[in-house]
Amino acid sequence: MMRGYFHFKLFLRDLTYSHSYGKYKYFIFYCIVIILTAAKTLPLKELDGNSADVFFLLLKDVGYFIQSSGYEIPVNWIFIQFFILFLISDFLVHDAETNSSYLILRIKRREQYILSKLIWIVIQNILVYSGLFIVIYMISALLLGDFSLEASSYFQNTIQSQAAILINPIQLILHLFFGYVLTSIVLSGIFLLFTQFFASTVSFCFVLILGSLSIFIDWKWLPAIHSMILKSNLFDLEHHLSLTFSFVYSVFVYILLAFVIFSVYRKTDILK
Amino acid sequence: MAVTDQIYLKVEHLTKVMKQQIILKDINLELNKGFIYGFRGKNGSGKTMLFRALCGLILPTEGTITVGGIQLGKDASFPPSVGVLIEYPGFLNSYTGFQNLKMLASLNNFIDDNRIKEAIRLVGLDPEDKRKYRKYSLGMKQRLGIAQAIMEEPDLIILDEPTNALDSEGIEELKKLLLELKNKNKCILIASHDKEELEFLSDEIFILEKGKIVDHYHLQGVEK
Repeated sequence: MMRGYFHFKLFLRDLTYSHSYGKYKYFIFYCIVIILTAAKTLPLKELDGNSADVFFLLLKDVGYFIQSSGYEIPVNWIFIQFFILFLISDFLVHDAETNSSYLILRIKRREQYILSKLIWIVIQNILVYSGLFIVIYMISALLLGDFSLEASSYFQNTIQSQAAILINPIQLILHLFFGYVLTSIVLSGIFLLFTQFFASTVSFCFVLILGSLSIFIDWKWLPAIHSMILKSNLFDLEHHLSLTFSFVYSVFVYILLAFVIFSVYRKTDILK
Repeated sequence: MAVTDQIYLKVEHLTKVMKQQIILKDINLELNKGFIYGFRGKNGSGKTMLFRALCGLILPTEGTITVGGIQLGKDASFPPSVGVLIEYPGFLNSYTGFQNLKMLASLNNFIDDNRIKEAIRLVGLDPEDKRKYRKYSLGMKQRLGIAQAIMEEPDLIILDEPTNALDSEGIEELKKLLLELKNKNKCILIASHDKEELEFLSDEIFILEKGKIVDHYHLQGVEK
Protein backbone atom coordinates (compact mmCIF):
# COMPACT_ATOMS: atom_id res chain seq x y z
CA MET A 1 0.00 0.00 0.00
CA MET A 2 2.74 2.39 1.10
CA ARG A 3 4.98 1.40 -1.82
CA GLY A 4 2.13 2.00 -4.27
CA TYR A 5 1.59 5.40 -2.68
CA PHE A 6 5.26 6.33 -3.21
CA HIS A 7 5.10 5.16 -6.83
CA PHE A 8 2.06 7.30 -7.45
CA LYS A 9 3.47 10.39 -5.71
CA LEU A 10 6.77 10.11 -7.55
CA PHE A 11 5.07 9.62 -10.90
CA LEU A 12 2.77 12.55 -10.21
CA ARG A 13 5.80 14.65 -9.34
CA ASP A 14 7.55 13.57 -12.57
CA LEU A 15 4.52 14.55 -14.61
CA THR A 16 4.11 17.93 -12.92
CA TYR A 17 7.81 18.73 -12.93
CA SER A 18 8.36 17.72 -16.56
CA HIS A 19 5.51 19.89 -17.80
CA SER A 20 6.65 22.87 -15.82
CA TYR A 21 10.30 22.35 -16.75
CA GLY A 22 9.71 21.84 -20.47
CA LYS A 23 6.73 24.08 -21.14
CA TYR A 24 8.56 26.55 -23.39
CA LYS A 25 10.12 23.76 -25.45
CA TYR A 26 6.72 22.10 -25.87
CA PHE A 27 5.24 25.44 -26.85
CA ILE A 28 7.88 25.90 -29.56
CA PHE A 29 7.27 22.37 -30.82
CA TYR A 30 3.53 22.88 -31.12
CA CYS A 31 4.04 26.27 -32.80
CA ILE A 32 6.19 24.59 -35.47
CA VAL A 33 3.54 21.86 -35.84
CA ILE A 34 0.91 24.56 -36.41
CA ILE A 35 3.02 26.08 -39.19
CA LEU A 36 3.67 22.69 -40.80
CA THR A 37 -0.01 21.80 -40.55
CA ALA A 38 -1.02 25.07 -42.18
CA ALA A 39 1.51 24.49 -44.96
CA LYS A 40 0.03 21.06 -45.70
CA THR A 41 -3.59 22.18 -45.29
CA LEU A 42 -3.79 25.24 -47.51
CA PRO A 43 -3.08 23.42 -50.82
CA LEU A 44 -5.82 20.91 -49.90
CA LYS A 45 -8.48 23.63 -50.00
CA GLU A 46 -8.63 23.39 -53.76
CA LEU A 47 -8.31 19.59 -53.80
CA ASP A 48 -11.37 18.91 -51.66
CA GLY A 49 -9.39 17.36 -48.84
CA ASN A 50 -10.08 17.24 -45.12
CA SER A 51 -8.18 16.76 -41.83
CA ALA A 52 -7.65 13.03 -42.41
CA ASP A 53 -5.67 13.87 -45.54
CA VAL A 54 -3.57 16.38 -43.61
CA PHE A 55 -2.67 13.70 -41.04
CA PHE A 56 -1.45 11.50 -43.85
CA LEU A 57 0.45 14.19 -45.74
CA LEU A 58 2.12 15.56 -42.63
CA LEU A 59 3.01 12.33 -40.86
CA LYS A 60 3.81 9.94 -43.70
CA ASP A 61 7.28 8.76 -44.54
CA VAL A 62 8.53 8.09 -48.07
CA GLY A 63 8.06 4.34 -48.21
CA TYR A 64 10.51 1.56 -48.79
CA PHE A 65 14.06 2.37 -49.76
CA ILE A 66 14.60 0.56 -53.04
CA GLN A 67 17.34 2.56 -54.67
CA SER A 68 19.11 5.74 -53.62
CA SER A 69 18.39 7.80 -56.74
CA GLY A 70 15.18 9.74 -56.40
CA TYR A 71 14.66 8.76 -52.77
CA GLU A 72 13.57 11.69 -50.65
CA ILE A 73 14.36 12.32 -47.02
CA PRO A 74 11.19 12.19 -44.86
CA VAL A 75 11.73 15.60 -43.30
CA ASN A 76 8.45 15.82 -41.36
CA TRP A 77 8.80 12.28 -40.04
CA ILE A 78 12.33 13.04 -38.83
CA PHE A 79 11.30 16.35 -37.27
CA ILE A 80 8.31 15.00 -35.36
CA GLN A 81 9.88 11.72 -34.29
CA PHE A 82 13.13 13.21 -33.07
CA PHE A 83 11.89 16.52 -31.67
CA ILE A 84 9.57 14.61 -29.35
CA LEU A 85 12.41 12.23 -28.51
CA PHE A 86 14.49 15.30 -27.64
CA LEU A 87 11.72 16.65 -25.37
CA ILE A 88 11.47 13.34 -23.54
CA SER A 89 15.26 12.87 -23.29
CA ASP A 90 15.80 16.44 -22.13
CA PHE A 91 13.67 15.93 -19.03
CA LEU A 92 15.16 12.50 -18.27
CA VAL A 93 18.68 13.95 -18.35
CA HIS A 94 17.81 17.13 -16.45
CA ASP A 95 16.03 15.23 -13.70
CA ALA A 96 18.83 12.67 -13.35
CA GLU A 97 21.44 15.42 -13.16
CA THR A 98 19.73 17.76 -10.74
CA ASN A 99 17.16 15.84 -8.75
CA SER A 100 17.91 12.13 -8.61
CA SER A 101 19.92 12.33 -5.35
CA TYR A 102 17.23 14.32 -3.56
CA LEU A 103 14.43 12.10 -4.78
CA ILE A 104 16.12 8.75 -4.21
CA LEU A 105 17.18 9.66 -0.67
CA ARG A 106 13.56 10.48 0.12
CA ILE A 107 11.99 7.41 -1.46
CA LYS A 108 14.93 5.22 -0.33
CA ARG A 109 14.89 2.98 -3.41
CA ARG A 110 16.73 3.36 -6.69
CA GLU A 111 14.28 1.01 -8.41
CA GLN A 112 11.34 3.24 -7.65
CA TYR A 113 13.03 6.21 -9.25
CA ILE A 114 13.73 4.39 -12.50
CA LEU A 115 10.34 2.66 -12.52
CA SER A 116 8.68 6.04 -12.27
CA LYS A 117 10.69 7.22 -15.27
CA LEU A 118 9.68 4.15 -17.29
CA ILE A 119 6.01 4.81 -16.56
CA TRP A 120 6.48 8.52 -17.25
CA ILE A 121 7.96 7.74 -20.69
CA VAL A 122 4.81 5.81 -21.67
CA ILE A 123 2.31 8.35 -20.34
CA GLN A 124 4.24 11.39 -21.56
CA ASN A 125 4.54 10.01 -25.09
CA ILE A 126 0.81 9.30 -25.18
CA LEU A 127 0.09 12.84 -23.92
CA VAL A 128 2.49 14.58 -26.32
CA TYR A 129 1.23 12.68 -29.36
CA SER A 130 -2.38 13.21 -28.29
CA GLY A 131 -1.60 16.92 -28.19
CA LEU A 132 0.05 16.69 -31.60
CA PHE A 133 -2.94 14.98 -33.17
CA ILE A 134 -5.39 17.41 -31.57
CA VAL A 135 -3.36 20.38 -32.86
CA ILE A 136 -3.19 18.95 -36.38
CA TYR A 137 -6.91 18.20 -36.37
CA MET A 138 -7.98 21.58 -34.99
CA ILE A 139 -5.73 23.68 -37.23
CA SER A 140 -6.51 21.77 -40.41
CA ALA A 141 -10.25 21.63 -39.68
CA LEU A 142 -10.37 25.35 -38.92
CA LEU A 143 -8.43 26.26 -42.06
CA LEU A 144 -10.53 23.99 -44.26
CA GLY A 145 -13.79 24.81 -42.50
CA ASP A 146 -14.51 21.09 -42.42
CA PHE A 147 -14.42 19.06 -39.20
CA SER A 148 -15.34 15.72 -40.74
CA LEU A 149 -12.97 12.77 -40.88
CA GLU A 150 -14.76 10.92 -43.66
CA ALA A 151 -13.04 9.84 -46.85
CA SER A 152 -12.74 12.94 -49.03
CA SER A 153 -12.42 12.81 -52.76
CA TYR A 154 -8.69 13.56 -52.29
CA PHE A 155 -8.50 10.57 -49.95
CA GLN A 156 -10.23 8.29 -52.43
CA ASN A 157 -8.27 9.50 -55.46
CA THR A 158 -4.80 9.94 -53.99
CA ILE A 159 -4.39 8.07 -50.70
CA GLN A 160 -6.57 5.05 -51.36
CA SER A 161 -4.93 4.61 -54.73
CA GLN A 162 -1.53 4.19 -53.03
CA ALA A 163 -2.89 1.76 -50.43
CA ALA A 164 -2.52 -1.98 -50.73
CA ILE A 165 -5.87 -2.68 -49.11
CA LEU A 166 -9.15 -0.83 -48.69
CA ILE A 167 -8.69 1.63 -45.82
CA ASN A 168 -10.76 4.28 -44.10
CA PRO A 169 -9.52 7.58 -42.66
CA ILE A 170 -10.05 6.63 -38.99
CA GLN A 171 -8.07 3.43 -39.49
CA LEU A 172 -5.27 5.46 -41.09
CA ILE A 173 -5.20 8.04 -38.28
CA LEU A 174 -5.21 5.39 -35.55
CA HIS A 175 -2.40 3.51 -37.29
CA LEU A 176 -0.38 6.72 -37.49
CA PHE A 177 -1.04 7.57 -33.84
CA PHE A 178 -0.16 4.18 -32.39
CA GLY A 179 2.80 3.77 -34.74
CA TYR A 180 4.35 7.05 -33.63
CA VAL A 181 3.60 6.51 -29.93
CA LEU A 182 4.99 2.97 -29.87
CA THR A 183 8.11 4.00 -31.77
CA SER A 184 8.72 6.97 -29.52
CA ILE A 185 8.29 4.90 -26.35
CA VAL A 186 10.82 2.33 -27.55
CA LEU A 187 13.34 4.97 -28.68
CA SER A 188 12.98 6.78 -25.33
CA GLY A 189 13.58 3.48 -23.53
CA ILE A 190 16.70 2.84 -25.61
CA PHE A 191 17.91 6.35 -24.77
CA LEU A 192 17.37 5.74 -21.06
CA LEU A 193 19.34 2.52 -21.29
CA PHE A 194 22.22 4.15 -23.18
CA THR A 195 22.47 6.92 -20.59
CA GLN A 196 23.41 4.27 -18.03
CA PHE A 197 26.63 3.71 -19.97
CA PHE A 198 27.33 6.84 -22.03
CA ALA A 199 27.05 10.63 -21.80
CA SER A 200 23.60 11.98 -22.63
CA THR A 201 24.65 13.67 -25.89
CA VAL A 202 26.38 10.50 -27.08
CA SER A 203 23.31 8.47 -26.12
CA PHE A 204 21.02 10.83 -28.00
CA CYS A 205 23.22 10.60 -31.11
CA PHE A 206 23.15 6.79 -30.89
CA VAL A 207 19.36 6.78 -30.75
CA LEU A 208 19.19 9.32 -33.56
CA ILE A 209 21.31 7.07 -35.77
CA LEU A 210 19.40 3.95 -34.73
CA GLY A 211 16.10 5.65 -35.49
CA SER A 212 17.32 7.02 -38.81
CA LEU A 213 18.36 3.57 -40.02
CA SER A 214 14.70 2.90 -40.81
CA ILE A 215 14.85 5.52 -43.54
CA PHE A 216 17.43 3.54 -45.50
CA ILE A 217 17.02 -0.03 -44.29
CA ASP A 218 13.79 -1.89 -44.98
CA TRP A 219 13.86 -4.23 -42.01
CA LYS A 220 10.81 -4.57 -39.80
CA TRP A 221 12.83 -5.37 -36.66
CA LEU A 222 14.22 -1.83 -36.53
CA PRO A 223 12.63 0.19 -33.71
CA ALA A 224 11.66 3.29 -35.68
CA ILE A 225 10.11 1.61 -38.72
CA HIS A 226 6.78 1.24 -36.89
CA SER A 227 5.86 4.91 -37.30
CA MET A 228 6.38 4.72 -41.08
CA ILE A 229 2.89 4.41 -42.47
CA LEU A 230 3.96 3.79 -46.07
CA LYS A 231 5.99 0.79 -44.92
CA SER A 232 3.03 -0.66 -43.02
CA ASN A 233 0.72 -3.32 -44.38
CA LEU A 234 -1.84 -0.63 -45.23
CA PHE A 235 0.40 0.41 -48.12
CA ASP A 236 2.69 -2.58 -48.62
CA LEU A 237 1.76 -6.23 -48.27
CA GLU A 238 5.17 -7.60 -49.13
CA HIS A 239 6.93 -6.81 -45.84
CA HIS A 240 4.12 -7.83 -43.42
CA LEU A 241 4.49 -4.81 -41.12
CA SER A 242 1.12 -4.81 -39.39
CA LEU A 243 0.01 -2.69 -36.43
CA THR A 244 -0.39 -5.87 -34.38
CA PHE A 245 3.21 -6.80 -35.11
CA SER A 246 4.34 -3.27 -34.22
CA PHE A 247 2.41 -3.42 -30.94
CA VAL A 248 3.74 -6.84 -29.89
CA TYR A 249 7.28 -5.92 -30.98
CA SER A 250 7.28 -2.56 -29.15
CA VAL A 251 5.75 -3.92 -25.93
CA PHE A 252 8.22 -6.80 -25.89
CA VAL A 253 11.23 -4.56 -26.58
CA TYR A 254 10.14 -2.02 -23.96
CA ILE A 255 9.67 -4.67 -21.28
CA LEU A 256 13.07 -6.10 -22.16
CA LEU A 257 14.62 -2.63 -21.99
CA ALA A 258 12.89 -1.96 -18.66
CA PHE A 259 14.28 -5.19 -17.25
CA VAL A 260 17.84 -4.37 -18.35
CA ILE A 261 17.60 -0.73 -17.17
CA PHE A 262 16.29 -1.97 -13.82
CA SER A 263 19.14 -4.43 -13.39
CA VAL A 264 21.79 -1.90 -14.37
CA TYR A 265 20.40 1.03 -12.39
CA ARG A 266 20.20 -0.75 -9.05
CA LYS A 267 23.98 -1.23 -9.20
CA THR A 268 24.79 2.17 -10.65
CA ASP A 269 26.47 4.98 -8.76
CA ILE A 270 24.38 8.13 -8.63
CA LEU A 271 26.94 10.75 -9.44
CA LYS A 272 24.80 13.74 -10.31
CA MET B 1 38.64 11.35 16.20
CA ALA B 2 35.75 11.75 18.57
CA VAL B 3 35.03 8.40 20.17
CA THR B 4 32.11 7.66 22.41
CA ASP B 5 30.19 4.54 23.32
CA GLN B 6 27.63 5.19 20.62
CA ILE B 7 29.20 5.91 17.27
CA TYR B 8 26.47 7.07 14.91
CA LEU B 9 28.35 6.97 11.61
CA LYS B 10 31.22 4.54 11.17
CA VAL B 11 33.30 4.23 8.03
CA GLU B 12 35.82 1.42 7.81
CA HIS B 13 38.45 1.18 5.10
CA LEU B 14 36.26 2.84 2.51
CA THR B 15 37.79 2.75 -0.95
CA LYS B 16 36.13 3.76 -4.19
CA VAL B 17 37.60 3.06 -7.59
CA MET B 18 35.97 4.46 -10.73
CA LYS B 19 37.27 3.96 -14.24
CA GLN B 20 40.47 2.54 -12.80
CA GLN B 21 41.04 5.70 -10.75
CA ILE B 22 41.11 5.70 -6.98
CA ILE B 23 38.54 8.29 -5.89
CA LEU B 24 38.50 7.46 -2.18
CA LYS B 25 41.29 5.60 -0.45
CA ASP B 26 41.03 3.70 2.83
CA ILE B 27 38.81 6.22 4.63
CA ASN B 28 38.09 5.55 8.29
CA LEU B 29 35.71 7.69 10.32
CA GLU B 30 33.83 7.49 13.60
CA LEU B 31 31.31 10.29 13.93
CA ASN B 32 28.76 11.00 16.62
CA LYS B 33 25.51 12.83 16.98
CA GLY B 34 25.69 16.28 18.51
CA PHE B 35 28.77 17.36 16.59
CA ILE B 36 29.59 19.32 13.46
CA TYR B 37 32.29 17.79 11.31
CA GLY B 38 34.07 19.79 8.65
CA PHE B 39 35.71 18.30 5.60
CA ARG B 40 38.25 20.43 3.82
CA GLY B 41 40.10 19.83 0.61
CA LYS B 42 40.78 21.28 -2.80
CA ASN B 43 38.43 20.71 -5.70
CA GLY B 44 38.68 17.06 -6.70
CA SER B 45 40.02 15.95 -3.32
CA GLY B 46 37.07 13.60 -2.86
CA LYS B 47 34.81 15.55 -0.47
CA THR B 48 31.68 15.29 -2.59
CA MET B 49 32.36 11.64 -3.44
CA LEU B 50 32.80 10.83 0.23
CA PHE B 51 29.47 12.53 0.98
CA ARG B 52 27.79 10.61 -1.82
CA ALA B 53 29.16 7.36 -0.41
CA LEU B 54 27.94 8.25 3.10
CA CYS B 55 24.45 8.80 1.64
CA GLY B 56 24.52 5.46 -0.19
CA LEU B 57 24.43 7.15 -3.58
CA ILE B 58 27.70 5.54 -4.65
CA LEU B 59 28.60 2.00 -3.76
CA PRO B 60 31.97 1.31 -2.06
CA THR B 61 34.51 -0.76 -3.95
CA GLU B 62 35.87 -1.86 -0.58
CA GLY B 63 35.01 -1.17 3.04
CA THR B 64 31.80 -0.54 4.95
CA ILE B 65 29.64 2.38 6.00
CA THR B 66 27.37 1.99 9.00
CA VAL B 67 24.84 4.67 9.91
CA GLY B 68 22.78 4.31 13.09
CA GLY B 69 23.69 0.62 13.25
CA ILE B 70 22.60 -0.01 9.66
CA GLN B 71 25.26 -1.13 7.21
CA LEU B 72 24.71 0.50 3.83
CA GLY B 73 24.48 -1.94 0.95
CA LYS B 74 23.73 -4.80 3.33
CA ASP B 75 20.95 -3.86 5.76
CA ALA B 76 19.65 -0.96 3.67
CA SER B 77 20.63 0.97 0.57
CA PHE B 78 20.45 4.39 2.20
CA PRO B 79 20.75 5.87 5.70
CA PRO B 80 17.40 5.79 7.51
CA SER B 81 17.29 9.51 8.18
CA VAL B 82 19.43 11.80 6.07
CA GLY B 83 19.16 15.26 4.59
CA VAL B 84 21.63 16.45 1.98
CA LEU B 85 22.68 19.45 0.00
CA ILE B 86 25.03 18.40 -2.77
CA GLU B 87 24.91 21.05 -5.49
CA TYR B 88 21.65 22.92 -6.11
CA PRO B 89 18.52 20.81 -6.30
CA GLY B 90 16.59 21.40 -9.53
CA PHE B 91 13.93 23.60 -8.04
CA LEU B 92 11.24 24.70 -10.44
CA ASN B 93 11.52 28.30 -11.59
CA SER B 94 7.78 28.75 -11.80
CA TYR B 95 7.15 27.61 -8.21
CA THR B 96 7.62 29.54 -4.98
CA GLY B 97 10.12 28.29 -2.42
CA PHE B 98 7.34 26.75 -0.35
CA GLN B 99 5.79 25.01 -3.36
CA ASN B 100 9.16 23.55 -4.35
CA LEU B 101 9.76 22.13 -0.88
CA LYS B 102 6.21 20.85 -0.65
CA MET B 103 6.70 18.92 -3.89
CA LEU B 104 9.77 17.20 -2.43
CA ALA B 105 8.21 16.65 0.98
CA SER B 106 5.12 15.05 -0.56
CA LEU B 107 7.24 12.09 -1.68
CA ASN B 108 7.60 10.57 1.76
CA ASN B 109 4.87 12.53 3.53
CA PHE B 110 6.81 12.75 6.81
CA ILE B 111 6.07 16.39 7.45
CA ASP B 112 3.19 18.82 7.09
CA ASP B 113 3.01 22.35 5.67
CA ASN B 114 3.79 23.93 9.04
CA ARG B 115 7.08 22.10 9.32
CA ILE B 116 8.02 23.11 5.74
CA LYS B 117 7.29 26.75 6.63
CA GLU B 118 9.31 26.44 9.82
CA ALA B 119 12.32 25.07 7.84
CA ILE B 120 12.05 28.01 5.44
CA ARG B 121 11.97 30.45 8.36
CA LEU B 122 14.98 28.76 9.97
CA VAL B 123 17.15 29.54 6.95
CA GLY B 124 16.07 33.17 6.98
CA LEU B 125 13.50 33.10 4.18
CA ASP B 126 9.84 34.02 4.28
CA PRO B 127 7.54 31.02 3.69
CA GLU B 128 4.75 33.36 2.62
CA ASP B 129 6.95 34.98 -0.05
CA LYS B 130 4.98 34.75 -3.32
CA ARG B 131 8.01 35.34 -5.51
CA LYS B 132 8.83 32.51 -7.88
CA TYR B 133 12.13 30.66 -7.53
CA ARG B 134 13.42 32.35 -10.70
CA LYS B 135 13.34 35.68 -8.83
CA TYR B 136 15.51 34.35 -6.00
CA SER B 137 19.09 35.58 -5.59
CA LEU B 138 21.88 32.99 -5.45
CA GLY B 139 22.02 33.35 -1.68
CA MET B 140 18.27 32.73 -1.38
CA LYS B 141 18.58 29.66 -3.61
CA GLN B 142 21.31 28.32 -1.36
CA ARG B 143 19.18 28.95 1.73
CA LEU B 144 16.26 27.09 0.15
CA GLY B 145 18.62 24.20 -0.64
CA ILE B 146 19.62 24.09 3.04
CA ALA B 147 15.94 24.22 4.05
CA GLN B 148 15.17 21.13 1.94
CA ALA B 149 18.05 19.31 3.66
CA ILE B 150 16.82 20.02 7.18
CA MET B 151 13.03 20.16 6.76
CA GLU B 152 12.41 16.50 7.59
CA GLU B 153 14.56 16.86 10.73
CA PRO B 154 16.99 14.10 9.72
CA ASP B 155 19.52 12.67 12.16
CA LEU B 156 22.31 12.94 9.61
CA ILE B 157 22.73 16.26 7.78
CA ILE B 158 25.25 16.48 4.95
CA LEU B 159 25.95 19.87 3.41
CA ASP B 160 28.42 20.26 0.57
CA GLU B 161 29.71 23.83 0.34
CA PRO B 162 26.72 25.26 2.26
CA THR B 163 28.24 28.75 2.42
CA ASN B 164 28.35 29.10 -1.38
CA ALA B 165 26.72 32.37 -2.38
CA LEU B 166 25.99 33.32 1.22
CA ASP B 167 27.06 36.74 2.45
CA SER B 168 28.66 37.23 5.89
CA GLU B 169 25.23 37.69 7.46
CA GLY B 170 24.06 34.46 5.81
CA ILE B 171 27.10 32.59 7.12
CA GLU B 172 26.40 33.88 10.65
CA GLU B 173 22.79 32.70 10.37
CA LEU B 174 23.97 29.33 9.07
CA LYS B 175 26.32 29.01 12.03
CA LYS B 176 23.43 29.74 14.39
CA LEU B 177 21.23 27.21 12.61
CA LEU B 178 23.91 24.51 12.71
CA LEU B 179 24.45 25.08 16.41
CA GLU B 180 20.71 24.72 17.00
CA LEU B 181 20.69 21.48 15.04
CA LYS B 182 23.78 20.26 16.90
CA ASN B 183 22.00 20.91 20.18
CA LYS B 184 19.12 18.81 18.87
CA ASN B 185 21.63 15.94 18.69
CA LYS B 186 22.07 15.86 14.91
CA CYS B 187 25.21 14.56 13.25
CA ILE B 188 26.24 17.31 10.84
CA LEU B 189 28.83 17.04 8.08
CA ILE B 190 29.87 20.03 6.04
CA ALA B 191 32.42 20.40 3.28
CA SER B 192 34.24 23.47 2.12
CA HIS B 193 37.49 24.44 0.50
CA ASP B 194 37.60 27.56 2.70
CA LYS B 195 39.56 26.94 5.91
CA GLU B 196 38.29 29.97 7.83
CA GLU B 197 34.63 29.33 7.12
CA LEU B 198 34.93 25.68 8.00
CA GLU B 199 36.73 26.35 11.27
CA PHE B 200 34.09 28.94 12.10
CA LEU B 201 31.38 26.30 11.73
CA SER B 202 32.90 22.96 12.82
CA ASP B 203 33.90 21.06 15.96
CA GLU B 204 36.34 18.81 14.19
CA ILE B 205 38.01 19.10 10.83
CA PHE B 206 39.12 16.39 8.42
CA ILE B 207 41.47 17.25 5.58
CA LEU B 208 41.22 15.35 2.34
CA GLU B 209 43.83 15.08 -0.34
CA LYS B 210 43.52 12.89 -3.42
CA GLY B 211 40.72 10.86 -1.85
CA LYS B 212 42.51 10.22 1.41
CA ILE B 213 42.12 11.76 4.86
CA VAL B 214 45.58 13.15 5.53
CA ASP B 215 44.89 15.04 8.76
CA HIS B 216 42.23 15.89 11.30
CA TYR B 217 42.01 18.15 14.32
CA HIS B 218 39.59 19.32 16.99
CA LEU B 219 38.78 22.96 17.39
CA GLN B 220 39.06 24.64 20.75
CA GLY B 221 36.50 26.93 22.23
CA VAL B 222 33.60 25.61 20.25
CA GLU B 223 30.41 25.34 22.21
CA LYS B 224 29.62 21.62 22.47
